[in-house]
Amino acid sequence: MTSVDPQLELKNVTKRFGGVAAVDDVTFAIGKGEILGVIGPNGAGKTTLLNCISGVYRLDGGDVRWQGESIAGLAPFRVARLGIGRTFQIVKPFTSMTVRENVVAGALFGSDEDRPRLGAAFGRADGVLELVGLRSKADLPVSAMTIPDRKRLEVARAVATRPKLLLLDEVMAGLNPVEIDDALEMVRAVHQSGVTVVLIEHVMRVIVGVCARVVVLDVGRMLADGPPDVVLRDERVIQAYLGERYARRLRGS
Amino acid sequence: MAAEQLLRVNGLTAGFAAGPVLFEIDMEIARGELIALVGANGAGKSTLLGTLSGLVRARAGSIAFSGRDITNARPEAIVKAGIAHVPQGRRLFDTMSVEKNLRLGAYARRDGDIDTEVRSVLEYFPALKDKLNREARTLSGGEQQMVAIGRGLMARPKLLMVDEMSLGLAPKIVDRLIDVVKDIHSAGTALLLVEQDVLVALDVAQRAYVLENGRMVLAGAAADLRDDPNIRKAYLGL
Repeated sequence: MTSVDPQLELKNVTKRFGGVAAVDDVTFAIGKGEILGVIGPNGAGKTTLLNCISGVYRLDGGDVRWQGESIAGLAPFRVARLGIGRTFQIVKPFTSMTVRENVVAGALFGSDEDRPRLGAAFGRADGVLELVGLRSKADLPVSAMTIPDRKRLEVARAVATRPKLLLLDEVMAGLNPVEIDDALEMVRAVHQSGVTVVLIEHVMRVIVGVCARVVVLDVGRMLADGPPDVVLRDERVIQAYLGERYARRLRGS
Repeated sequence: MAAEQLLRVNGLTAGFAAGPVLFEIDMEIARGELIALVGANGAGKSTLLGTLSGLVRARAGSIAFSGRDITNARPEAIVKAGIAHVPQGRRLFDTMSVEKNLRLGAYARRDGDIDTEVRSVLEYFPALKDKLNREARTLSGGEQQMVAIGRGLMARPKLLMVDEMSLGLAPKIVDRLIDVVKDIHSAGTALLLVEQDVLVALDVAQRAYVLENGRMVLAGAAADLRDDPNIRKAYLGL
């Protein structure tokens, strides 16, 4: 399951709000070059887990280790500069700027390794825009963009920070099946450029489409971990998350 | 259409300061019908719902509801006439209680029957029963969508329009909400569903309209559209 070279390790990660454990003793590792899906009911702790990794939240227990060293307690920008990029569910682009300028901002403030000067940042932004399929829209104001393009831009801004690991939080919500297939191409392109990918999604077309491995969270705990064709047939996962209609669809196909 | 007409949209052109988004839209919904509105992102689906709600100005054409012209009527008059809009992203009043959110849905009503309506919403969504005093923002995404739909029902609409019900929700929750949509329909309310999960929408709807670049390009029985090779390729990715 986990490759020989774990890049990110979660060890007994726990995060509480009030008395409630939103993430409860979660342990797993992500190997370099994986595409890992994270699924689970609304409120299962998926986004909280991303926030624990990216430094938005301080852990109440356990440890997060990046390339062998603990990063627990580091500020979000420090985590980003170590090479862990992320997107947010509610995209917040700089609306007064163009698409390219938004991506330049990511390039300028990202990973410590090889951070570009302003001129070079524009060049890098164009490369990222090419990768995510937004090159032809580089000069448009963000206000003119559709939802799928805004999601792409959110990914582009994160990719411009030069992550080794990219955390994607529901970047395909609100896309129809055909738009999802296009977005999957984008994820594959980013992955092929050498980036490990963790993605949270509720759309099984995404999970089945790109993930070799999927982790299921339920009420803050790990419910399952394995290849999608096994996990999505797991009766506990159907009970807690997928529901009977999806299970029927799966059996029918 | 044999059944009595509820909504009739004729040659509707509408949009924003930057220009029209919808062009010469024709559409009709019969009393009690369940309709899906399908289209890519940016096609104009939410703008159409906004225009029907009076939130976006019509520039040409007309909208008639229950035999009355409601083109560019004020939103509160349209709610009173019987159209309720459940917006994309729920748009609840986050720091208000669930119950207050629900009751606000009945704001335009002048009859005193609002307690009964709260009870009937809770019959559709029993999960909200012990959460009436909770702040809306503390609910899970699925529960928030229940409140948003419930708030729409509080207006006692003849037509309930639901924009992107499944957005960001777990498959099992979407199942449950679809069952409620069927219940609402069985109780006699017409529904207009905008849904990115096109297969789900076409499964549940009786008829569907397809919107492309602001124009209505296709309308028909949902089952026929589901089997249409062009639709399967363009919207279902099959």
